[in-house]
Amino acid sequence: MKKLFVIFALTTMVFITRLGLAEDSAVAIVVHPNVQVSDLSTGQLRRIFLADQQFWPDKSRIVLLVRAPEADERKMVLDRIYEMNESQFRKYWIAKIFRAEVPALPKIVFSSNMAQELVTAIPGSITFIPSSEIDSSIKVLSIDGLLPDQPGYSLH
Amino acid sequence: MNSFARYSARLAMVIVGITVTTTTSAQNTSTLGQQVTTLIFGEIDYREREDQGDDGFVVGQGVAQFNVRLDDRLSVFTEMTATARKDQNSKFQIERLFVRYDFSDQYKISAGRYHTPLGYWNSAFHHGSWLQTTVSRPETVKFGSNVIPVHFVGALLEGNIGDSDFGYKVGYGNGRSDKINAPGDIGDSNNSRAWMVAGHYRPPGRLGLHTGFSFYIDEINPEFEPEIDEQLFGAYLALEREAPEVVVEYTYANHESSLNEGKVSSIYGQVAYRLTGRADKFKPYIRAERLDVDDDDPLLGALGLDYKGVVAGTRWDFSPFAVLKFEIRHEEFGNTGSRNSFWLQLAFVFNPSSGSQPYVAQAPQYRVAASR
Repeated sequence: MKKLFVIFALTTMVFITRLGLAEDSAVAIVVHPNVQVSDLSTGQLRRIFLADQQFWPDKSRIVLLVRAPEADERKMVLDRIYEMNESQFRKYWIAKIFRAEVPALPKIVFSSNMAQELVTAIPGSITFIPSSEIDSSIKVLSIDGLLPDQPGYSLH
Repeated sequence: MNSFARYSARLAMVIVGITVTTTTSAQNTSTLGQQVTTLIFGEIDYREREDQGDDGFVVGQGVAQFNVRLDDRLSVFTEMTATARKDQNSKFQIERLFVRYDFSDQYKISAGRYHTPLGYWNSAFHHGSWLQTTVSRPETVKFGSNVIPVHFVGALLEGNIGDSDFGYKVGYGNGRSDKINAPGDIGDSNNSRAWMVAGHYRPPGRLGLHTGFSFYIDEINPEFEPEIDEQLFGAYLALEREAPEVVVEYTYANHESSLNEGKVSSIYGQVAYRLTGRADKFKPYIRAERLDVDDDDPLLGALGLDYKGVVAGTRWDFSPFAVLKFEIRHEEFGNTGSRNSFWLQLAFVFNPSSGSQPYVAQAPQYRVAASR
């Protein structure tokens, strides 16, 4: 009985924690510190993530870092920015490479820490991270003039 | 060794060679250094056709392509195919090979051998049978088509128009060789270059709209024929989505020689719809196509290319990287009459350099950083 109670309590805690994360966490769009951009419109963000725009205004190459499947922030980005499901996303990039529209696929990252490490290391890089996990040294972009902690931010 | 074994062995050698190259390169990649992305497409078909021989299983085309990013702006794209043939000699061919320099999103210049960016299908799917919903290609753009120049050897300038969702391509190259369904790989046979201009509009969004036009001009000297002026115009509208997927493409050609003049027109429309719920791996489709060639057309009139056809089928995405397609066709050919047929196709794609996730590349920089 005691064992059952412990399992129930732990399960409830995990569930509540996950609920809390889901409610509180916005997804922040972050870039390499040297990227000379501080705000993007939703349209520009889409064009960058779809690789229809592959260069920053200073003509440096954009390097896209994408979180591996199953992460909540990836699901949000696929839904809100790409407007695709996993299957469509996969086909989109295979087609993009097949048509030689991009010289390389996005780089995959397996954790928020890895995303932060790479986005500060690779010039021109851009990625997305839960705003609750952002290090203060990371450059966060506003989207349509709004930062992740402001009301009306689109990637909640 | 029989032809299939020989084909398989040679295809395996191509794939293994490319895989080794890719793996080696990936291991040597430094930050933003050379990066190789490889895709392998393949297919196995089964067909039953009325009044035809050679039915049964068919080893479809194997395709190996790799895209090498040499530096921030310079890349090389190569695509090779292996096609089994009846004469027991597999055909290996370089389908695409070009070098591209990206100045910006607005200006990308390249030179080499391409899929001619005429219309939609020829660029969007070409050898990627896994990518296309149907088993078959439209008759107008089928492999070895005489109707359009499927390949193009020359130079291409392309890019976005400003920061808009419009794009353009301008090409200058050899055009058709004296064998009209092949490009001039080793020079322009009549020293008269082909020109092409294409434009498209592709806004991001759930609608998946992609529409565009293309215009192509060449002067051709077919074997045993007088010189012919060719003008091709194409326009298309596609909804690149799953429910529904729509492709409508129109091609018009004018051919004029000193003796006569003729016109060619072709149109096809394809609709597919991804089912929902428990049937969401299935995507039924239908396509209707018509190709009319004037009897007087100096380039194509004598070839009996008139065609009407309807194909219908279902694509079953039983795996993220493999599909099984079932297709029935009713086709009427200008030179051989009508025919019904049934096709099955097992098509797949994989990326040997990143395991089972061909849509994501490795991040070698992270491994370098972590190993310090």
